[in-house]
Amino acid sequence: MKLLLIEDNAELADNVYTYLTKEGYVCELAASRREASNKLAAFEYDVILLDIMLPDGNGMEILRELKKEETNTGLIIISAKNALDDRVEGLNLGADDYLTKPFHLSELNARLKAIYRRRHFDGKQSIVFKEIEVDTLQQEVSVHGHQVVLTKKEYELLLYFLANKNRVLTKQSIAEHLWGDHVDFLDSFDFVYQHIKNLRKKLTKAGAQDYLSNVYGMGYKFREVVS
Amino acid sequence: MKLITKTTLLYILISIIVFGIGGVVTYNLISKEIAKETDYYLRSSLDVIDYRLKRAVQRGYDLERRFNTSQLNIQEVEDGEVDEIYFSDTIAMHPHLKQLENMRMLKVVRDVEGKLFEITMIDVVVEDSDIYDSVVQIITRLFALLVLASIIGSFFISKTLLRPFHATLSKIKSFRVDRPERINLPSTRVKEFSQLNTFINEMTGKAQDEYQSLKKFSENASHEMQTPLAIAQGKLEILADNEQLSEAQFSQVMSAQKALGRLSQLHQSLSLLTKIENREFDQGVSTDVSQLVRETMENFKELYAMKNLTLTAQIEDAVVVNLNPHLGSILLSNLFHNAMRHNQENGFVKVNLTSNNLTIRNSGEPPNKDPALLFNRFEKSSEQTNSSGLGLAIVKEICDFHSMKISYMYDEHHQIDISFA
Repeated sequence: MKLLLIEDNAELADNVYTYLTKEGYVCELAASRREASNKLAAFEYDVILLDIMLPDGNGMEILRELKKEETNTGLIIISAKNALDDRVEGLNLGADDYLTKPFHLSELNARLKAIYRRRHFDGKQSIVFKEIEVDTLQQEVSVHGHQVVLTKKEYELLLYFLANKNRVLTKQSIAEHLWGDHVDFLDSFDFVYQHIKNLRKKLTKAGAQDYLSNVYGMGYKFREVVS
Repeated sequence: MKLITKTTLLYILISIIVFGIGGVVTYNLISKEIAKETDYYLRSSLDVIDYRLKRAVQRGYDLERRFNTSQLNIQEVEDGEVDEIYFSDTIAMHPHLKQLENMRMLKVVRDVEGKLFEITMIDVVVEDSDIYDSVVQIITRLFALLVLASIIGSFFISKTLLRPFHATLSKIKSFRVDRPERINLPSTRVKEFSQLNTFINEMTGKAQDEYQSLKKFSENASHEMQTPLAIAQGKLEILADNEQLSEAQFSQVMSAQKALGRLSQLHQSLSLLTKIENREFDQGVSTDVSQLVRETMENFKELYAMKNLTLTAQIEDAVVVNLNPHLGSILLSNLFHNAMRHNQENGFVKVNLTSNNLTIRNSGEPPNKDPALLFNRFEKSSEQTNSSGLGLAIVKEICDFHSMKISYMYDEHHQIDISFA
């Protein structure tokens, strides 16, 4: 996957760059609107990560230009503004997603993958991980070809883990992924634990290996190789 | 009471006093003038009598027959002070009315041809009660006329003279500090109103400017804060991904991340509160609350089940309330979350929605704080160190924003009630 990150803050860009290159993406950076326009004119990208507050203009303009060209490029807006109007305007202009700062890199990664899937396979692609298969259109999960019935949250949790394989996911990032950030969910870590326990039970019962491991009791990791 | 009504009433009150005093003064003046006139009349009649008496004495007429009537009496006397005129009040028979009336009496002794004659004349005086009656009648009629004129006058004054004032008032009523439109009151010919309008123009303009700059400031502060938070959070996430971290190091990274998460959440809650307070949300559209409640219940079903809470609901269909749907779902989420947090093992949550109100009851320990403080910011029960203490403050703010009433009570169970009306 080839990405363009349009972000004027070097530190933040570095975080995203470090996290996403490790994922195996090709990630390019643009620190201003002009630089972004140049790169967009010269190259094609699968997904663009766009900070709408840029030193030389509003990122929405880039979005408008881009949408005129009718490319198949996905776009995620990254904004410090959690304003409903901005969100609505961005999505109306054709952005695929809207992420508010501060965000978890694992969350960004999961959303990137979802957009990539949607853009390139019309959402029909199923995610296959060894014996586990996820049909993202039907929202169905099967192990060794046998369907496993998951609750909505368990399904979302599995997708989140599959998007962030071999990464440590903190309880906090999982909680925010599952329940959003409207409600004060700081006491929701018990729920995360319960959901993971249930998910693990359902998967292993269906014959999958136990890929989920606990990191010092504080985070979780979905390992490709079961130790 | 309207200003014009009040001034008219005050004016009428003052008129009552003035007319009262005026009545007394008029009465006194008229009685004095009438007394003077009566005396003057008697005096001028005396001149005629004097002449006739002189002639009658010279010609030797019978005085008794010639002069004495009910109002005049001439008698020869032995002595007396000659030409001293005495006036006095007396009561005598009225010649026509045939009853006793107040009379004015003139007494004088004249020396005619060496003989002394006492002349006594009486004349009817206008009675005090008659003057009094007339004065009262005049005053009351005048007063009635004045009241009528005042009322009609005040009506026209309020319609014309106060028109600029009413125009100003209605413009102020529709003034909103969060809108960019200036109030722009016109200048009028009346100096006071003109001054008032200029003052209001300046003041509201200043308020709008200050509101805008404050809003800009809090927005900017809010944005500027998010980026460093995002940087720190990202760094910690990358750090946590490092396989070589020891348990102690990992634990420290987690604590730091948790603290950052808390800070960011606190920040979001506070800026949400500010936005609602600043009325940056639309007041809302007709929203199907029944639907919204069902959706929220669906979201919480799993969590409730995990805590072994029994959720029962009685939801009236198609309850439509004017509500901002975004704020509405925040409100419900916060309430459902609270019902779960302040609950007990195997407890219950009961939801009841009617067209007038939403009631959520849940089991749980009684609050250890004054329930009145519950909706205040940063108010939390001591054992719930994980809560931000802003959840109910947000709920309250959203209710206030939509003019809905919210109340809390505890009778063995927690109960929160929101009435839509």
